[in-house]
Amino acid sequence: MCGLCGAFGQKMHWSDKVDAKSNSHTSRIERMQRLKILNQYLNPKGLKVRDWQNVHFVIENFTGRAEIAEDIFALWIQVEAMLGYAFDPLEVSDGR
Amino acid sequence: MADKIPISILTGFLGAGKTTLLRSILSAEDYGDTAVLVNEFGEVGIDQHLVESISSDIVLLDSGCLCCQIHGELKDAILELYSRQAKAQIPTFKRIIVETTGLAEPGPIASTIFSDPILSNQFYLNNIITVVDAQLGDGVAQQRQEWFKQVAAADIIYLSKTDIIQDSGQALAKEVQKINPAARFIKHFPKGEELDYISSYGSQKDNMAKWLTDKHSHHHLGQHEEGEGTFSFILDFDENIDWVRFGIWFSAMLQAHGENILRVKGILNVEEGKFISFNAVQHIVYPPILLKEMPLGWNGSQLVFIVNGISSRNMLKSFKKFVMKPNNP
Repeated sequence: MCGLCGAFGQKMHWSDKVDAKSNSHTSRIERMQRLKILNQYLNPKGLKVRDWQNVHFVIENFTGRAEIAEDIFALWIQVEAMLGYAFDPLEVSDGR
Repeated sequence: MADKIPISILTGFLGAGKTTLLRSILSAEDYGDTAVLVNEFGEVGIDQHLVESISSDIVLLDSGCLCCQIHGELKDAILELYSRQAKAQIPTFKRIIVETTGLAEPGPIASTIFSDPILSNQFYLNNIITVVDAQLGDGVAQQRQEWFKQVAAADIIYLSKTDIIQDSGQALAKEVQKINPAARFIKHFPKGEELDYISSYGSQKDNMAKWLTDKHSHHHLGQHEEGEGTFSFILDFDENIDWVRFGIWFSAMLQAHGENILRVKGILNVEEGKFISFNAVQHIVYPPILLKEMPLGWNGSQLVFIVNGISSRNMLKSFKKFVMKPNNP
């Protein structure tokens, strides 16, 4: 746990790197890549995702509402709560 | 994973034959290092094998096998066994088999094992074995969503009672294999080897290469395209899969359509020569495993989907759009 902010360390999610050879550098690169892709999907819907302490995601809308999600699954739950509907990957032409 | 204790879930609809299979395991002499969690002692009929009652819910059988009655939460029952083993109050066990009730969905049970921090540190879900009654025909079970979920979740499907029906369950076997082409299909457990099969077949340590090359039971895209009812299809790709994009796509898919995605299993080629074994039951994604061995000449990725009412064409379209186009997300 971080002594300054009180945040717990990052919990592994299945979508994190499975390669045992990965290190904090490669994990960081992947995390940045993940944020970039998420923003490409969510910016057209009025949401912005940023990293917080390399541990959580922060999702913000244009009115200034911000929610924290601890992993990618929690992120989609928050996205649904903020949009009022789920981001649906089957709607392939939607917001892309 | 090496030091963790494997858990197998034994499921099947009411009257399918789970208890009969359990009786064989409990009475076998070589399975002394197994703990079996059942719903009711009475149903399994352990009296003739009983050596000692350790507590009101745990008994030791003459085979050395521990039998534990689940009262309340599964998590508590497993942790009590683990705690008693640590205190040397019961013999050590190397594996656990959990019998579910006939109407149970395996997804939440798998979730209990993966999401509880104590359980996930000490145990791992080895496989799900679903017993299917060969006498079913167009029976009641097939009209229930629970039956489809149990069949879809299976790593091993055991067709029981084949000896007492005319066609040995051929018709039903075909239907079940259509629903879950990713499962190992067993019609007869060799006498005395039931547990060996249960421990190794379809497990996470099982040889994925064999599963991949065992294509005769797979149903490729195009056989079921309309997106009605429960059915399976396979997506094949020659290109490498971007793991980050796949993680974003699949987690979003589960959030939007998780209720209708009963099972996804397969191999993803994420980099040249690097393959990941992927397995998800309903909302639960097993920890992905980096594979060490692949069949000679195997390239590409293959995912088996068992879904309810989702068109394979739409899934393919979505996969291509979100996962396969790194330059145009």
